[in-house]
Parts: sequence; C-alpha cells; structure tokens
Amino acid sequence: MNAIELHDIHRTFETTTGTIRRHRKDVVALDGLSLAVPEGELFGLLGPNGAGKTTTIKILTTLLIPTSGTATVRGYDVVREAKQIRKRIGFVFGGERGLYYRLSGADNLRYFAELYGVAPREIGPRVVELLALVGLTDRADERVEGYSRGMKQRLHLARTLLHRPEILFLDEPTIGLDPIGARELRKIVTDLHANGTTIVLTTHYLFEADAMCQRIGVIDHGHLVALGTPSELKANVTDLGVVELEVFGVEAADIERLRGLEFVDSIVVEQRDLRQLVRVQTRLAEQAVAPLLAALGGAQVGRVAVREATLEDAYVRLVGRVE
Amino acid sequence: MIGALRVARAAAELQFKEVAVSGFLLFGALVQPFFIGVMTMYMLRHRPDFDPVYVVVGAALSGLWSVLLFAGSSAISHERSLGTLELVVAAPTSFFVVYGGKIAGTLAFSLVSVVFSYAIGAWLFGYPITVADPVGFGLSLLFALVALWATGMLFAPLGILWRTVGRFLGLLEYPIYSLSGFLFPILLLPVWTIPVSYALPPYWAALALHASASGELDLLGLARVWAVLVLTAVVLMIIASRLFLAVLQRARRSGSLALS
Amino acid sequence: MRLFFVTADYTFRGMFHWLRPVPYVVNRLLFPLVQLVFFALVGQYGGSQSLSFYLVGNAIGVATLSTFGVSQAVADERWQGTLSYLLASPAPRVPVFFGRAAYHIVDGMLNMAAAFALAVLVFGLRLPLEGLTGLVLSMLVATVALCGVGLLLGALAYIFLDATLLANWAMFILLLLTGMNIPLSELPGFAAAIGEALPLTRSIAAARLYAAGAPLDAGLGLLAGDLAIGAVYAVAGYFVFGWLELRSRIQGRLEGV
Repeated sequence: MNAIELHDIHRTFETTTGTIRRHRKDVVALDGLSLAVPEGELFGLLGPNGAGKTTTIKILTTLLIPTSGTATVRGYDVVREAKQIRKRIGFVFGGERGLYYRLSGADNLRYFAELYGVAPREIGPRVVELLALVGLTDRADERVEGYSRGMKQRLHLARTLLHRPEILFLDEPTIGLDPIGARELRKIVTDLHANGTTIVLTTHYLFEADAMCQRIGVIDHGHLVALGTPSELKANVTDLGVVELEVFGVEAADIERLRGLEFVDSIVVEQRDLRQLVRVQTRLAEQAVAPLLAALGGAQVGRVAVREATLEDAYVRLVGRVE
Repeated sequence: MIGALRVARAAAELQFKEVAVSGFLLFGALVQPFFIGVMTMYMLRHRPDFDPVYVVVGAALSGLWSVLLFAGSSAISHERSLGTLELVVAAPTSFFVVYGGKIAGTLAFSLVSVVFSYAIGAWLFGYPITVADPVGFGLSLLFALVALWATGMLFAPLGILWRTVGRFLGLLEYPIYSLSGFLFPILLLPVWTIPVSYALPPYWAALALHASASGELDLLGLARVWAVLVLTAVVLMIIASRLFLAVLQRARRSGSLALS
Repeated sequence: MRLFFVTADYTFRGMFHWLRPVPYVVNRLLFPLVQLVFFALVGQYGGSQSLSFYLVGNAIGVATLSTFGVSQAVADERWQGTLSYLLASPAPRVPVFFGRAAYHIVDGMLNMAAAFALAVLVFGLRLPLEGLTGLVLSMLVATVALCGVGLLLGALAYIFLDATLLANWAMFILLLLTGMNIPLSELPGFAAAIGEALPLTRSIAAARLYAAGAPLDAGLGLLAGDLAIGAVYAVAGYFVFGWLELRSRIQGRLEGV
C-alpha cells in the first residue's frame, strides 16, 4: 500500500485586499498535484517559495482541506477520516513558534504526550528517551523561552516522535541549525527511516535532498514538474555543463546578452559582496568559455570554472531560479 | 473516557498557568471586582435591607464572568499566536476535550475573584459576611460553575470563526452584569428584557447564589434553579459540540488555523 | 496652528485605516453607554442619591474614554516606531500633540452627547434650557482636562510598557474617586483628597449644578479649576516625555525603554 496518495489536488486560497473596499482575490496554491509515496520511503519535496510545498504538507496533515481532489494517508481520507490519520503521523513545521514558552522543554513534551494519546505509564520514560535522542537532556527543565532556535527545532522533533508515528512530515527541518546540529538531525532522520518510518521532507538544501532522499518530487506553481530518484533527476542534466564566472560589476544588459547566446541554457546570477557569480548552464562546457567572455565585453572577470551539473543545476533547470 | 479526562486535566493545568501570569486577566479577576465591589458597597449601603453579602457575591460574579469572557475567548487566538493551534488541532484527541479543559482551568483561576471579593467585604469594609444557607450556597456555586463552563464552551467556535471577535468582547461585560442581576435586581430593567435575562446562564447562576446567600429561597426553590442551570448546561454543550465540528471544518477549508 | 490641524487630520485618517466604522461605533460609542446604564441602575437600586446625580455623573464620566484614546495614540506611535521620527522632526511638540488630542476631544464630546441623549430619552432625565450652555462647557472642560491625564499616561506607558492596563487603572480610579457615583463627602479622607486632585471631579460637580438649572457663573470657578488641574497633568506628562527623550538620546533607545 502507498503510505501517501494525492490525486489531482487543487487548493485555492481566497484573500482580500484593501480595507474600506475589499476585493476578493483567488490565489492558486495547488493546481492538480498527483503523487504517491510508498511505505517506508524517504521522500523529498522540493520547490521554490510559494510553490505549494507547505500547502501539500498541510493537506496531508489534515490541517487543510483541498478545494478538489482526494488525498489519503495510509488509506485514510484526509477530509473524512482525519482522526485515524492524526494518530499515525507526526509533523514539524519548525521555526520559533509552536511551543509553550512559559513551560520547560520537558513539560512541553509531557503536555503534548497527553494530547497525542501516549499511555500515561509510558509518558515519563518516553520523554526521557526522546530528550536524550535530540540532546536536550540537560536543558530539559529550562523554560522554552530561553531556548535557542536550534534547541527549539530539536524539541519539535522530540515532540513529533512522542507517539511513535508511522509517517513523518518534516518541513525544512534543518533550517536555522548550525552545521553540526543539522548533521545530527539528519542522522536522526535517516535512523528513523532505517527503522521503517515513512518520511516526507521539504528542504531548500539540495545537497541534503541529494544525500538523504530516495526519491524527489519538484513542485513549482502548484504542480509536479519532476519526479524521480536524485540520479534520475541529475540524468536530466548530464548533457549540461556549468561555467561559473566570477565577475565584477556586470550589468543586466550583459546578462541578457549572454542569455541570448544560443548555446546557453539558463543563467543564474548570485551576488557575493562586490562580486557576482554568474552560473551558466550550457551544453558546451569548456568551449563556451571563450564566447561567454567575449560577450561579457568590458566587465572584469575573475575566476572561471567549468564543472559538471549537480542536483542543484537540475533543479535550476526545472524551476528556472535558485531560492 | 478516562483518556479524555486526562487530556482535559492537562489542558486545564496549562491554561491555569498561562492565565495566572497574565496581567490583563489578573486585572479582570481582582482589580475590576475590587473597584466595582467598593463602588457598589458605597452605593447600596443606604438601603434599609442592605446585606453586604449581596455586593460580595455580585462582585465575585463580575470577576468570574470577565475572566471567563476574555480568557475563554482568547484561548484560541493565544494558541494561534503561539503557533500551537495547528499542533493541537492535528492531535488525535478531540479539540472539544482540550478546550473543555481550558475553560475548566480558566474557571478555576477565576475563583480567586470569589475569595478576593470576600476579602473586600470582610476586611476592607469590616462587615460580617455570612451566608444564610452554606450548603445551598456551596451547591449553587457548583452548579453555577457548570453552567458557566458550558457557556464558555461557546466562545471557542466564535473565536475561530471571527478573529476580530476580541474587539467586541468588552461589550459583553456590563450588559451581562445588568441583565443577569449581579448587582441589582432585573426588575429595574424594562419588561421586555426579562426573557433575555431568562435565557442567560449567568442570570440563573446569580439567582442561585444570591438566593442561597440571603436565604430567600428554600431548598426546593434552589433545586428548581439548579435544574435550570443543569439544563442550560446540557443544551449549550450540545450546541457547542456541533459548532466545534462545523467551525473546525471551516477553518480547515479556509486555512485560518495558522497565523498567516 | 496649521500643524495642529494637519496632525488632527492625519490622526483621524490613521485611525480609520485599521478601524472600520462598525468597530468604532461599537467600541467607542456603545461601551460608555452600557457602563452608564449599569451604574445608573445600581444607583437607582441603592437610592442614596437622586437618579439625576448618577446620570449626570456617568454621562460626564464617559469622557474618561478620551484618556484611553490619547494614551493609546501615544502608545501607538511607539508601536509603529514612528515616535522617534516625530521627536527627531523640527516640529514643535505642543501643537503636534494637541493636534492628536483634538481628535479625541471631538470623540469625547460625541460620546458624552450620546450619553446625555440616552439619559434623556431612556431614563427621562430633565435638562433645563438655561443650563445647557453650562453643561456643554462642562463636557468640553472635562474632555480637555482628561487629555492632560492621557498625555501623562502615554508618557508613563513608555516606562511601564502597557498603555492599556495603565489606562484601565486610570479609568477605574476616576470612576471611583471623582464623584461620578459616590459623593466625595462619603469617601474616607485620603480618598476624597485624591479625588480633589483629579480632573473631572469639578467638571462633574459643575455639570450637576447646571443640570439643576444653576446660572452659568455658578460653575465657572469649578471648571477653571478642572482646566488648571488638567494642565498640571499635561505639563507633568510633557516633562516625563522630555526626560525619556533625554534618556533615550544618552542610551540610544526610545521605543520600549
């Protein structure tokens, strides 16, 4: 059985603008999304901001009802059988909020344990166990308002594991964590996966998706633009090489000129202090360097590098931008 | 069932801790009844049949009601601003049970108004505050709390439906004090408001408490009022549970559980 | 002078940006009215004074909401972070602040007018024609004097960081000690003394005189007294602001001192 199934999900939001005269506007968040995640998979959901990742997660966690289409988790319908789903899933939306800041970390866990139906005898040992897992044992009795962002994120993870969910939804779990903390969290996630938990992960860190996920779905503008294993997605760009040019003071007109070159697939410009990093995806690789430099004309060029395409480049090719 | 009670108790404890440190709610529970109590004491003491217990009970009720009104209705928006509303709704436990616990915790806190009002009458003014029918009074308080609890259960659906409901809440303080006869008999109000009063649980709560404090009603009379209190509680619970489901469904449809 | 009107207009518009007409009517108009109804009825039940005593007292007392308004306005400036810009501007302070107060004065007068209308129409209060000028004068003085309190409260809110709670305390203290519902003679000595030092007390006393048909000059002394007291509070508020401003220049923080 598939752990998760989405069939042609549409989700529109109504927003209003203006104060005296209010105008209704419809924002389409999901535009016909269909997806299936088999049991036990570690699935990655990628996409730029506003693509519909969070909306998808909220639908699957029964917090949002789709405008049309059906979604099931473990065979249970998200709209009508929400209670069955809620017992079996856990989710972390992350961020600074979502905890009772006047309570201690341990008290927060105990409260949520009650809420999530953990057997009373089990609450004490389970809280201790999870605090140890996320490395918060010695700060457990401090009030959450004094926790750093990373600690709060770890507490969220502990919270979501209290009732031993079969399916986990993690929305950008390592954002805001320092590299060591992020690494530890990734290890916890992969361990959970190894133990059989189905995991759906959204992330902006493409190397993370590449390293952890068995399959990746790329969403843009509310629907799926790519689906496959990291290797399959990278295969989409094996024909691509990437030329990275470090330039000083390049202008928009120059970039447009580069874009116009017929062997250029896409260009991304990143601002790095006073320099700009221009990443050009092209079929030509080294042969592209000379015509690119010529096209840049007067701009000062520093470092030039040519490399193979990575998952990030595949992503850029799919959604046309880096965020 | 036991599970539900345990969750309710946990929610009640959490709510108690949250409201007990809220300056705003402490104001409603202590400061406001203080001023209203002191003022009413001065205003009523020239009556030939003046009984200070009347003011103490009335002031206590005003505190109880104000705390219930504000804490009960802001419980939802508070959770929403904390970011925990989604977590609670997505829990397998019924939100109705969680909220029931919150209202119970709110009422437990508001009982401090009762104690404080007593202190005003007995210590500040030095009156002997005695209750004519202690057993009747105790039971009246119990039934009053049950009815008020059921009333509080209605505030959640309102809080979810309308995020700006807080702006209008202040309007439900004085009118309820008036229509429920907390500090003056409703006979002073125009005749056509009497049916409105009868429909208000706080009215019956005040009636039971005032009557048992003054000894005006015997046990049978009190029992009739208690029956009304229980009946209203049951009816309100049924309405509230239906409303909860409808409102949660609507929130899920419109996406208003999160802050954004 | 022009600054005065410009600020008043901006305040008016600023308020309406996030206040739609319905909440305005509901909160600012209805709230004082239900409070008046409550205390008038308690007073009637108690019978220690005439009904007119309570009606006039509470109708004038409705002006306490102006206090709310001014201190809220000041607090809003902080919340919106605009106060530093305001203080850094070369505009002279007094006209600017009174410009803001103007809106609240008009608001206060409207509230009191509604309150008196209620008292006359529903409770049957009789207001003699001769006393009307004096009554309107009392209403004006009450609001203006209370704006002084509002200013002080707004300044204090910077220190204590909660304008609404402070304003609530102020409202209840005024309710209790200015003779709105309890004649000062009935209060214990120290409480009556505080009441005498508050604005509003004399305006209410004057209003009661006029409502009983007294001639205009009967209450002028009282009204002048109230204005003076209000001015003292305003000056105190002005000085607290000055001190806060100085401190913020030294410490580098203004908002959320």
